[in-house]
Amino acid sequence: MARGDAFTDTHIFIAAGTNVDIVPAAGVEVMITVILGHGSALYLRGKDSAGNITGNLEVGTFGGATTPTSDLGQFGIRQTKLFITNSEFINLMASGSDFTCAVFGVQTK
Amino acid sequence: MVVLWVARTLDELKERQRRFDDTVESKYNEAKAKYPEIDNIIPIVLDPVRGTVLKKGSKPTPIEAPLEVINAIRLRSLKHAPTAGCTCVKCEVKYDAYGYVVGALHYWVPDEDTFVELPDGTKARVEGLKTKIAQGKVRILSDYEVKVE
Repeated sequence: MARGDAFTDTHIFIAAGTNVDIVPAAGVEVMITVILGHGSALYLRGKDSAGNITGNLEVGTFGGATTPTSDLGQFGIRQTKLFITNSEFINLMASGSDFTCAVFGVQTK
Repeated sequence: MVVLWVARTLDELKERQRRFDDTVESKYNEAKAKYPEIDNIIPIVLDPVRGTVLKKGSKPTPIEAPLEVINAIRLRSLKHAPTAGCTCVKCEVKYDAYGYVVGALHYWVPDEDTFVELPDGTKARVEGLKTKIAQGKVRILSDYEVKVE
């Protein structure tokens, strides 16, 4: 990999009730900059190589909302700066219905 | 779509998951037989054209290594993290334009039926792999992918 290359997956299908790990390889570090989705509910969770996993992470407010939400899918574009590595990465879970999403980022190492 | 077989037990799916981990381990061992220094490499690629990586030590130093060696280290790092109550049904390894492994997506499905919370606060039942297998809805497509209807 080369530092500065795109790290992109424009079609990730996650069936209802299932989840997907997005794991960089050893020696690779990625900054996820945006997660786009289509479906009723998508949740972001932190996971590590030992299998520890968080609950649904709060991802802030959106638009005129004042209450932080953990639902990435409910409100469209979510811009982030999530740094992930081989040992500390993310897990996306679809809840309620099948979900398609796209993840865009850049390799920082 | 080529269907290898319709899964009849959860163990068949667990076995497919294990096979991925075994395969990346054996690729590492194959690479090690040709390049014994592999254990001392930090697979941070400094120059993708030359294959410059780092050699472990009190002061890591740049060395050049073949692509297959770097990829063997990286593939081995993509073994499944322990995930209780779920089985991975698809391992999608991602490569960059130079041919280096950059990461993987592992798709997990719960073994048992679960209840998921909907945005309106209500809950819905989602069938797990055991139920899907009993219904004949799980097909093993390859060593890397299982189709769950």
